[in-house]
Amino acid sequence: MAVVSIMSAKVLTDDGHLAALVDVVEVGGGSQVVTVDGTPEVRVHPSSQVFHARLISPDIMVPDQLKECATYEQALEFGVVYAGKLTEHAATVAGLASDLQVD
Amino acid sequence: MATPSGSYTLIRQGVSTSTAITVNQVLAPALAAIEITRAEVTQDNVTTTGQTRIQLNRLSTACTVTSTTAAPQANGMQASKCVGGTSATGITATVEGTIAATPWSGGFNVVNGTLYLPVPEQRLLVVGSAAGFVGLKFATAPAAAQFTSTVEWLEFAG
Repeated sequence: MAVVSIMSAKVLTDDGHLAALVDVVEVGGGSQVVTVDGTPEVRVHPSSQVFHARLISPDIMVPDQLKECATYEQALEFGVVYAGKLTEHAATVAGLASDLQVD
Repeated sequence: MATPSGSYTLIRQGVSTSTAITVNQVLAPALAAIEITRAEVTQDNVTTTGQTRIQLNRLSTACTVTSTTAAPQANGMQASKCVGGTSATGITATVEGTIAATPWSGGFNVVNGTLYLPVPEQRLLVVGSAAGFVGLKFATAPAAAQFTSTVEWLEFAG
């Protein structure tokens, strides 16, 4: 029986704007040359996985936030919470912009 | 040539190094591509001549690094998409990632340092993805010195 693993996702706000990207990132598995008693030795490092939740900044002058999570579900949760915050603040900013209009 | 959205630098400054590690790692994420325009390794406390070797690698898996924020090279430039993270952009690897290719490698005398400054046609282009890693690595353990290593890139943010 095949097993399907979901490794990446997009999280959108209510109005369809991209809020977050979730991706699996493979870590380690590389090698390092170390000298033991004068003799070079190749050491292979352990492999692991981490999930990146990239929370896309609405302002290009402010960097995206990167959350590194142990599971896909944790990463997704960051994205969903962030999307909710973006929606909430978008309404506030729109109200502020119209209030600041001087006629 | 496409117009870049900014140019950024990641510096690991004056750190005593005597092991074969990745000193600088950059992750070009989805939504961006980067072109490596410069890489440099120098040191500031050893006056005795000695050879070592550095390499610029494409990595298929991340190194575990100390998260570091890339600095814009001009005031008013937008924030880099290559944000810091222990499995993203940072310095001083404690776990090495898997090398997929080594587009540049060179031996140098530590007294002089070394500089990768390709002509535009030969710059290393990294298309953004979850595995868009570039690492600057000592191929073999250098004699201990206070090394400063720098990677600079142009970013094409989507």
